Amino acid sequence: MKLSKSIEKNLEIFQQKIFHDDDVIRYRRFTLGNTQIKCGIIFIDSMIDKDYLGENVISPLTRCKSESIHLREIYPSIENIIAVESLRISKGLEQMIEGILYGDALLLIDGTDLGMILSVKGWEYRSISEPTSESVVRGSREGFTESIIINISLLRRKIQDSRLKFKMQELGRRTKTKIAICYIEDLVSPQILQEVFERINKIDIDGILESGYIEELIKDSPLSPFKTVGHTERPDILAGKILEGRVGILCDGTPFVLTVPFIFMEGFQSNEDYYRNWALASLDRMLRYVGFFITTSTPAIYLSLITYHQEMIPTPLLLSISAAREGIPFPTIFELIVLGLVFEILREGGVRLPSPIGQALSIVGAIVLGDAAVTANFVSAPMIIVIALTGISSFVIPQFLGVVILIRLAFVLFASVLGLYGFVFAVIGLFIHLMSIRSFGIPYMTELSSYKLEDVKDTVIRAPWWWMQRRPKLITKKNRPKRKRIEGK
Amino acid sequence: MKHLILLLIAALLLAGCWNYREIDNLAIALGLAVDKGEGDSYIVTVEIINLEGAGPESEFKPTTVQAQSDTIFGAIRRLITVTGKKLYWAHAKVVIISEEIAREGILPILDFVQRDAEIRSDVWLLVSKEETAAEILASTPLVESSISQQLSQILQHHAPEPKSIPEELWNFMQKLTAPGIAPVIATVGLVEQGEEKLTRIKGVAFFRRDKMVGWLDGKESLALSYLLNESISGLIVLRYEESGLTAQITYEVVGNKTEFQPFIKDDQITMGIVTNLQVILAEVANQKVDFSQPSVRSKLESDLAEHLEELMKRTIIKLQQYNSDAVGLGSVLRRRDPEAWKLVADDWPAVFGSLQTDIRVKPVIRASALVSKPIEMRD
Repeated sequence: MKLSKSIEKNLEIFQQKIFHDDDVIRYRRFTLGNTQIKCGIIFIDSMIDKDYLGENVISPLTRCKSESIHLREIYPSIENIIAVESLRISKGLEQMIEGILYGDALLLIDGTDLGMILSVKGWEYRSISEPTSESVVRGSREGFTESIIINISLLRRKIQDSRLKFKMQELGRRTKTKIAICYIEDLVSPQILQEVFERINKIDIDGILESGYIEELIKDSPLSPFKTVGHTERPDILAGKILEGRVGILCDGTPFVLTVPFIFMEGFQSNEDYYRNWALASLDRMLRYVGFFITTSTPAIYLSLITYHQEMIPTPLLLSISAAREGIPFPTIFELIVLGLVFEILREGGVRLPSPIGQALSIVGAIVLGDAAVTANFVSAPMIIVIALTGISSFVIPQFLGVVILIRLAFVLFASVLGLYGFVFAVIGLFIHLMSIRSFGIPYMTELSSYKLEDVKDTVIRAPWWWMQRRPKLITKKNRPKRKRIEGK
Repeated sequence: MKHLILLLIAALLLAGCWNYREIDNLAIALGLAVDKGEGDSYIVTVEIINLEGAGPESEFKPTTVQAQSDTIFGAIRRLITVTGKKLYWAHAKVVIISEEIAREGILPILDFVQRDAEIRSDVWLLVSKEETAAEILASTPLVESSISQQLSQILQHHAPEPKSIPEELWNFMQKLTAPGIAPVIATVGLVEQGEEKLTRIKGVAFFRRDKMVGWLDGKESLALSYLLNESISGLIVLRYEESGLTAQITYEVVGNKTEFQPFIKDDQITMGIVTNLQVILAEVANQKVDFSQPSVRSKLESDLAEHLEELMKRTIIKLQQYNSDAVGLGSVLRRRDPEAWKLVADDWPAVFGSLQTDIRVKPVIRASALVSKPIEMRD
């Protein structure tokens, strides 16, 4: 389909063929100054800034004098009349439709088969606010919004380096979601970058509503429950990761930005680690590793101790556990799985509910299910302690919140048939799995399996900034020094 | 991949104990007492934890169950018919043996204790001074919830008052099988306090091979524990007399190192024993005793030396009468003079019976606790 030279016919094309039955498309007709040339503007209501369009486009065009209009080169001549910072003259119908759908206004003038796409976007944004999923005590309070343009500006403001690049793309055949792949040119590993582009170009899907779609489509080891693509809502985290040579993928319509490669260790890092005293931050990191161990292993260890290895429990403890279990009708494994399930239901319920109801839920959970179940002799008190400890510890590592449930369950099942032997067997299995997966070519357990001092500076501990002089080895193969002093060497 | 999975499944079957047992289906045994029954049989008394009530309100009350059989294990299995639960031995604290059995030889009993997979080798051994061993388990626990835990508690904290020598099973077995040393086992008796009967661990029973041959009282046990270098603490109370001034002095031992040196002259072995004691003056009942004076201190030291030398001599002579080398002089000789040991090894108990010893105690008063001078009273 092509446009003709008659404005009426052209408007008809849009009104009857392309946007038929669509009531939000607006068609504004007017004449160009005192020249009697008919014009039309097509735009979508509520996606444009109406004041801006009226003041800077329609008003100057209707008031202009005929001597300033050259009929032969009508578009170039009105470019000086319209006060819009970005406009382009287009011939292709596809381009024009796309422009209208993305909040631009299309100006058509009688006598030409060209259209002028005017950038007058002006829809409502959610303002920049503090991200709720990753709250910090110390650190930047701004979080990404749903608008990719704002998100890009937030990142640009953090890294004012011309070598920070944004590659814009569109994904989703129908949603035409804008995405931006960002990286610092001289820090990023070319292989990783190439891999990212390759995987993103292979994506063929009708709609991308959230970056989670992309995450799942470009992820390594798709069957593994461990995430190999990171995501964050905070510009400072994204900036930090990009400065380490990682690649960020911003996606329009969601505040969650993807970062690749993502390695196991990142699950235990928090941006606040880098803002606080290094010793305290290191302590926190170690706590997270301990929390990971507790949340995955306590139920399994408890189970194997009290059903297989009673000799390993100190006598007084054994006696009190034994007293607490007296009269409990169910085997320990049943008790454990049911209570664990109840906890997960409470947690899941709490996440989705508005906070006032969430509080009521936790009271019901704590009092009714915890206390009453013990008093009624359905479950034993030590089991409540184990489940509570497990649940609380899992909140230390929000990045792995979902995975630990699966690991815990696997550990418990192994421990229930083989005791500690089964538990250790499952742990070995977990390590084999962790060691075998990769994220964009980077081994998942990188830096945790290294013996070099240089590599452990930002792992279980967070070394002081003056001591961390190089970027992570595998991710940034080139340009590793973080500071100028050793850059010359 | 298929092979790998098969291998992993096979690995699962290779090891691991398929001994799943719920904690509430176990009767936790805490103590074992063995007495002589009619004929060749044994009466086995076991202290188990009995749970009363259910859930949060349940309480554990120790209780004893008894069975008779020709073997220990037989009797223990027979107990299931009474308890309804399998006895669980990993938390057993004490094995109490009656004097009658100890005198006959305790190895037949220890065979089960040593052989059974559940009973730990750090279980305490005790010989009952009462008529039966079962009586001990029937007494009243004072601080702990069961009598076995009470006994274990006493044995664990015996160090400040070493009037006995606690032996764990592994240690006893080691001494039993080692050349040149005889084992001892702490003895337990009952003391009455009001209506209750409480246990007291004092003194040891000494053995020749696995047969008990005699008792040592509390003081002799103290001497033995210094000779064995088992103890570096303890109290010794002596009467001080000097130019009409008398006082009860309490010495607290804070260090002990006993050294041995065998001398051989004309085929006659003499064992030189030197005990280096470090003591502090813990209590002086008469303030006129001026222990800050060097002369008084040396008198105090020599008093103590004399007392201990006499006590050790008496202890060793008592052991010699029964040819039971509980001090381990044979093993000293074996280490220090292997050639000489080879000549007497086969006949060691008899040689020990007539062994000459030369005992010297060298006490040093290290301090007088927080006071440096006697308290002077004024009007």
